Amino acid sequence: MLLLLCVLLAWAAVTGVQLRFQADDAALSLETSRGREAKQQAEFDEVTAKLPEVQALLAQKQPEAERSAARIDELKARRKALREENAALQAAQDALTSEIEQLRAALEKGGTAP
Amino acid sequence: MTKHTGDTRRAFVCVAALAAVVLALGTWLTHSALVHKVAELNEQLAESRETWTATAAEKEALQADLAELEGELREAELTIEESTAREPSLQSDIDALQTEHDALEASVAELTATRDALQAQKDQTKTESSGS
Repeated sequence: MLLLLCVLLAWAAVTGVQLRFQADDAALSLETSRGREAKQQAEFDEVTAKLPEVQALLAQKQPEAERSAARIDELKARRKALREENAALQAAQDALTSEIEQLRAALEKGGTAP
Repeated sequence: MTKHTGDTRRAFVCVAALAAVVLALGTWLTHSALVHKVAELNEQLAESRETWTATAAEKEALQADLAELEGELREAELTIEESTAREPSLQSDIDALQTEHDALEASVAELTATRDALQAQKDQTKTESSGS
């Protein structure tokens, strides 16, 4: 009877120590996990708060960027058109100059002809 | 005397048995409480892990959205910046080309008039020479 009691007490002591160790370990893990939970929640809140700000800023900047890009495209198109028109005018000027020279030469020839 | 000793021994055995029962009961209760506590802590731990894992997943999805929006915002700001820097140069090119255009137009008009006058003169000379 006494022997059985001793065995039982020894078993209870060992199991008790193991259980206390498990409980301490679980409590520590829980504390760490709660810390992670708080950290993730804080980061989540931060992103959630920042998202509408960036969306609002983008809604403001995007049309402005589109207008700026359109303005640049328009100016480029205007410059291209002017270059083409100037090239055509230059060609017309050269042709007219040549034509005038020919006419002057013809008139001079006609005037000096006997 | 012997009867008295036997009674004392019986009483001691009874007390020892009672103490053993009390001790065993106490041990069992402590053991049971510890098992319950460990189970409860493990349950809370699993719940907490599930919570922070889900929060982290949601946060990462939102962070991806945020990164995309921030990229678009940077692009928009860059477009505005580049356009603002480029516009004066383009406008200056256009002004120079417009000046050149106006000058060429005037020159072509003048040359056309000269050509027409010379052509008329030539035609007149031709008429006179064919008349005489």
